[in-house]
Amino acid sequence: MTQQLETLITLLLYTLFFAWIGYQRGSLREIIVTVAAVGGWLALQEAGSLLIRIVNLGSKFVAFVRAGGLGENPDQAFGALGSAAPWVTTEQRGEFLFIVWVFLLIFAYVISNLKPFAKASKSDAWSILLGIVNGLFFATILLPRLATLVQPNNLAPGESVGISNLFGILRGAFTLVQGNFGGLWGLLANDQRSLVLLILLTIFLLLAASTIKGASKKSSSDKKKRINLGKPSSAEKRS
Amino acid sequence: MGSLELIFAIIVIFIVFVALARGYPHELGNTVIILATIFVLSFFEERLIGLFNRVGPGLVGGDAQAVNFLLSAIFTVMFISAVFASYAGITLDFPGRPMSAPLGPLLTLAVGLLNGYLIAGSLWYYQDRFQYPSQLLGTIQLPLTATGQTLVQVLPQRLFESPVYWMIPVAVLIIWRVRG
Repeated sequence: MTQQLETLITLLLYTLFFAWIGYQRGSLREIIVTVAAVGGWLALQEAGSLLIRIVNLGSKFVAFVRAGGLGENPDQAFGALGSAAPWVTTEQRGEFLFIVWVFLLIFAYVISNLKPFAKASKSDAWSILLGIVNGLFFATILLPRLATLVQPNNLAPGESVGISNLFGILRGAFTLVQGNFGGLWGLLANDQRSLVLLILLTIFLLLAASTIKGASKKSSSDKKKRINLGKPSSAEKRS
Repeated sequence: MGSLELIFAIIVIFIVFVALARGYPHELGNTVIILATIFVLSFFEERLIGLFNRVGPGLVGGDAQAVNFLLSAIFTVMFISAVFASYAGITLDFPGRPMSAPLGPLLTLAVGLLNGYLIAGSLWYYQDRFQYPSQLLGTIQLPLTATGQTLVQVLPQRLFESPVYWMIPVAVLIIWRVRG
């Protein structure tokens, strides 16, 4: 229970932190990061091999040039192509794609901070939601790697973290919240439960009612109208 | 017919759709009326049952099932009438514009779910309270499933020890509405 509570508080703090960052940065800037982070990760998982092949073509080209491929007699240089060591080996695939993704993410943050995006970015509920989505996605990708600091065997070398890990984190978070609230609920006596439910219901209804915009303005203008009843207006006075 | 919880889930979904079409400023007015109706019917429930138990046997010939059927029908009709009145004609609503997306639709969904739970849950309660008289009509399949047995313990009328509890959110909302 205590450990669960600690984990829940950590999760809440983490989520609140990214919600706050999202609100500070605004929805447009956050959506650029979301698209780059999620889209980039998915694209790298799907088309990562193609990217590695293109990069490895570069190693062959360098070997070709070094062997005099751009000189007068390039025939010998073709022999060097076969023996050229690839820049990215199969074992390094995961790390390479991760580094590319990190650069893409930094690039997305830099681009999203440009003036036009910053100006058009609104701090609204969407920005909070997007901030949370980004935070959870970063946790999916980065946490297993950070965990290797304290638990070196947590992620095998070259092992990739899939998108399914996000659902695992969400499922785990949901179970955690459910477990904690269930535990707290179990501590309450029946009459206390009724009271808690009543307070929650009242707060919810009051919050919902308080978010309705324009009601107070309308009523205050109505009041003014009511107060003005019976008194001649300035135009009437003039006439 | 399917299991009882399925029927009531369909009622909840239907009410949520109505809420999504109307928006939560209108739905909150319905919530006030529904909560007040639950309070009034719960407050007079035992008195009405006592009265009917004295008068009813003379009317329906002492058949316990028929008495239960009639009592369930009376409570259900009274509840539905109040709910219908809250939706039809000039209704109590909270003036003003709802919040923009995504919070506005989310609030509408939440208030719609609450209204759905209150309406479907109350209808279910009046079935459970009088030993499911609708099974005589073949509209309900018994026994209840495990989920149904769990849900039956959290029906609106069973949440609070006293029906007066329901008047607290009603009073708060009415004060808010009058205050503007």
